[in-house]
Amino acid sequence: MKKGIKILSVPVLSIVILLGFYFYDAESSDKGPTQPIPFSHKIHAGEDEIPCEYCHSFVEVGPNPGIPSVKKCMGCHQHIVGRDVEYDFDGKTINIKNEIAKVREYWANKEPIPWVQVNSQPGYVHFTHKRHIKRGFECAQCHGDVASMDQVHKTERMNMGFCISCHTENAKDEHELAHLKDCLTCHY
Amino acid sequence: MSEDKKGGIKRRDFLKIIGVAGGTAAVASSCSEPVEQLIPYVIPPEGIVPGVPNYYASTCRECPAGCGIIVKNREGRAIKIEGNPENPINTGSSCARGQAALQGLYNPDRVRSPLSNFNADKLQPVGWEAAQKTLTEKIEELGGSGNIVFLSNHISGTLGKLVDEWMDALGGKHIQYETFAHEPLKEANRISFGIDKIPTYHIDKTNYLLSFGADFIETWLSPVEYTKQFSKMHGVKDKQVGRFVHVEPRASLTGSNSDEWISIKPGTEAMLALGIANEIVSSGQSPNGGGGLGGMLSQYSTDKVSAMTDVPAETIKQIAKDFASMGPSLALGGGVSVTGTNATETLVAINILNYVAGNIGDTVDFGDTLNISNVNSFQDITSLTKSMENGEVDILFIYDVNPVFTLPKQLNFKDALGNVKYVVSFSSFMDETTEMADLIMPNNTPIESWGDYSSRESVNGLIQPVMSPVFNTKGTGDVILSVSGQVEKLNGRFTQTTFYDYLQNSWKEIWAGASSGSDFDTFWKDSLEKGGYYKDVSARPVSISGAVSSVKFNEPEFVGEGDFYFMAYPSYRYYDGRGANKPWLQELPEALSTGVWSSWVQIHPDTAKKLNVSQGDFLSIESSEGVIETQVYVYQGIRPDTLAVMIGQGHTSYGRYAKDRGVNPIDILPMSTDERSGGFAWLSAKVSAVKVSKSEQFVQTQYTTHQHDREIAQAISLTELEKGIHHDDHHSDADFYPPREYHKYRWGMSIDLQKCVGCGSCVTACNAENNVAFVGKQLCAQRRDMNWIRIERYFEEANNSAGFQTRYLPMLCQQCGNAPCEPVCPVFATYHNPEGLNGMVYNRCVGTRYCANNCTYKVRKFNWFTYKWPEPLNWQLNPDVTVRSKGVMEKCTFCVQRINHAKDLAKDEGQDVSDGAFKVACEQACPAEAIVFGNLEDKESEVYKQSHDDRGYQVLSFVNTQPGITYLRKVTQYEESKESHGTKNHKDHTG
Repeated sequence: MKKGIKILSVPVLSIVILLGFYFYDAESSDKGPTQPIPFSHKIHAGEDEIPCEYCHSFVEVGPNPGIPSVKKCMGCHQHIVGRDVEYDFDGKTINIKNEIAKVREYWANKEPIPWVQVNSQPGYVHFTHKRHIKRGFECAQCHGDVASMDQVHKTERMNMGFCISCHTENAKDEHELAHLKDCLTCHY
Repeated sequence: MSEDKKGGIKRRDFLKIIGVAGGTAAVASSCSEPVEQLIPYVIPPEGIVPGVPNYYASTCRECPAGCGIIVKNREGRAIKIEGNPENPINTGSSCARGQAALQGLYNPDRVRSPLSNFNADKLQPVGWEAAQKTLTEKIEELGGSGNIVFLSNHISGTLGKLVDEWMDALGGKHIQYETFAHEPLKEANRISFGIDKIPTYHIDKTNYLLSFGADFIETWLSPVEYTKQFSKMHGVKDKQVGRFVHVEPRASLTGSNSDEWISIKPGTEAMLALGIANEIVSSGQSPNGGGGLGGMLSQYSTDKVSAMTDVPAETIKQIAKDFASMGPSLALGGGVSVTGTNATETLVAINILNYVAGNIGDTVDFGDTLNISNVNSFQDITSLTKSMENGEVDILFIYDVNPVFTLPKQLNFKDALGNVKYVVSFSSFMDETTEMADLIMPNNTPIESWGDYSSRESVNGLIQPVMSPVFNTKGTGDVILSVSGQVEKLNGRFTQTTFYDYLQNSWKEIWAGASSGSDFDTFWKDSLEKGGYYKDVSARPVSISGAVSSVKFNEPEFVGEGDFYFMAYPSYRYYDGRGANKPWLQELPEALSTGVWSSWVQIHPDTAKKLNVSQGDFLSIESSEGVIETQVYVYQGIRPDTLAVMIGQGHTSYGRYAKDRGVNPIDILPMSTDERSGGFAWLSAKVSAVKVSKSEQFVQTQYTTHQHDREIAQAISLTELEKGIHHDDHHSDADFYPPREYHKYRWGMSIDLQKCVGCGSCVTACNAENNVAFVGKQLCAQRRDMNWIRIERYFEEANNSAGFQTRYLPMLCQQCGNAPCEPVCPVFATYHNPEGLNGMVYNRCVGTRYCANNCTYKVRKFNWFTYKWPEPLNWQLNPDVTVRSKGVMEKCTFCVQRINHAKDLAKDEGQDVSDGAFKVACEQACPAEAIVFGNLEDKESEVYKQSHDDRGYQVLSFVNTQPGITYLRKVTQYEESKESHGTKNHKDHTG
């Protein structure tokens, strides 16, 4: 018994640790969370070239970019019912028309679509999109090339190192750098 | 330690497996973050940008003053109340009660839906339709007799009008009841000037203020407005200060801010006022030569008055001299101490004093009178109670009043209520009166409803809903209109179906009267934006009536055989008890005692010795009407022959925060009235007091009243102020390190101790803005209260008639340039930021508490637990501030969220933050405008100027903490005696 555990525990632990690293890394891998509707940014932002701000309309005026209301979805999908074709959504086959029908169903029931958050900051981080957009940063600089993703996933881990390294590179002068590295800029 | 007999697993192996399994779980769980959903709007509401607040102007209804407020709304929830700068009453400030209105809105003990007893004993939830149907049926059934009464508080606006009309249509009566209705003030003005109104006063225009019991900083008429005016008058301008003398048997919070507190024999204020008037007239100092009253006044010779009032003749002469010569002057009369059986006479005497000194029409304004003048008198309430008792009331509506709690027991309102056939309460809270109702139709709070309120001629305040109702409640105006639509008799009586339409219709009259030149919609929108419609009302010339000479000034009558006069005084935290269900107010330390969550009796040290009690012991106080038992607070600011207990506690209902806490002193007051006005005589009991064998810790937040020579709250004498003060150089030469340099901003603050009155608005405002937890009495007793800002109060020996002087000092994180907390933090969770703030990074803190231990000012608070805000109190939390959890240190960082917000807005404009662009929460609330916040790097800023004032000093600066807060010394107006403490400069503390 005793020996068995001893022998077993080494490979088990190593596997666990390796698995841990795999999942840890997987956060920034090609697999975002599964959404209630397989909404393709690739079609909307890529093929249709809808600007990000059209749906995330508060990005320049507030801390949160906002996600579109169901009404906004219906603004287009009132008219666009979608082709009755199969589509390869990140390796999963979906029927576009069927999926758009789901949006119309949410609207008909006056229910919100429970999207799953992809990028987030903990409660003690007060990040504001407005300042970054006004400074002229492209959405893609933090969010990656969303226009080429069907299912959106994280491309950056968005930890403090990520923030600070960008702040350090972009500060205009030492005073701004001091401000951009100041804890109270984000933590309060 | 081998394998056990059943062949099971050994302890050691078990631990190993658990270790591996636990490790696996830990590694696995650390990788996947919890799934957070993003729920979009189905249809987005107009004008809401997530993360960006909206502000709505409205009117505060926590007391009859009716201040203008601005409510901050984030994502559909009201999260902060601030004063509305547009409103002429409070011009931007607010009081603790106003701030705490949010805890009424989100109170977990609100009535959550209509309740009906359906002829059973228990109130059960019903739907609105059923409730309205029940009410309609009851009106059809019982309404024929016309024995219907609508008992409300002072509702002066459109709702009052609607209720009047409704009662007219039903043949009923509308009675407005206010606990403090100031009947004697009205009656005295009728006798003196032929106007039975309550005037407005212009304290700010005076140089000398003499108050007879008027607690204008606490509850009297319009406390925020008068505190602001007082601070203008009493603050330092051109090296001069106004003088304030307070006459009352006890030094109330207002009295403690006086330059001279005159401890008068209870009930003899009329004599003193006449004595002073006589002194003015007989010494030829009256500008109108006494206006023919000289003969009448001559009976009140100084010596005679002195003997009657216990006020030394010298003092009377001095007051008379100053009152006449330091004009414009003003004598105020009000509050419970002058409201005895001779209240009207006392106030007539005070009117005479104002008259002979030439103050009428100057600092007393009968043009812009208060509408509280129109509420029903105590006599009306008495006769209502009688008719209820006799079964002559069939339906009684209760709106926003709690007479079972606020009326004296002897009136038997509670029993009379039992004789009413059907009682309907519109209260949103289950209080002592509402719990006896047959039907409860909970009203929206003012934050959830449309309405208006006019506290005075010049102001029509609008009330607008800032959010949709938290619970299943409905505006009473809407209920009345909807029920009226169903009652046959009232068919077609009201053309409007919603109260909003009714309100707008009623405002068309105001619009017509305003002749603004714009159309109604513009006028309406403009009024909504400004919080109401404000107009100028010109002063009305008044002259004294001959009737005053025929007034006989009687001695007051006291009921009871005891040795002590008994004062039940309104609390500035709970008013008449309505504030007691708000934890912020319960945990706001009372200024004089710093006591929290409780009741106590103020007792003079000599009396305490005589009764053999000390602080924390319980005293049994017996009047002719009953007994209360409460804790002793020994206080030198009360006469030895007087005991005082504040009103507001002692609820037997009213939710978890109010229930079974302290005592209600109204319970032992006799049913005496002021003879002339019929108003309730608050000061008419004589009580006996005996020690009982019970003693508990007196729970307070500051256990010392002395500075122990630390010179924390400093003062200078008036002569020193005039001569100019020698300045220390803050010991910068003693510093080993080079001074810190700042670029663009160094945030700093100045606090003027001459202006601070200790009211605690800043404390509550800070709690609201910064998600500061309330912890309850037990944890307060263990010194674990969390308030980031506290009002320190010290009683200094002084060479004045009271023998002491009270000093208040708001203490908060000093944002030290050389902070003792910073170097001891092992994880750099606290540090000096480039803009002069002492940063506190909650997510870094590991809770060693070294910082708090090393803090010179003891302003750091530690989260011993994860404190909870019971649902829905947590809806109030400010999303811009992290909610701290167990094991984390917290403290003031000058509302850094507001600083960052202001910088963000300034950056949008491509500018730097300008002076006055924003205010921090405590500064914003402060009615005395004692706190100034700003950028010390900007030499033009107000805070820079204040911080370089002659009176400026920094607390404990000899420790070389280099605080970012500069205090401005209080100015003492008595001759400084050699042994008085804390009035010296701090030279002797170098090295």
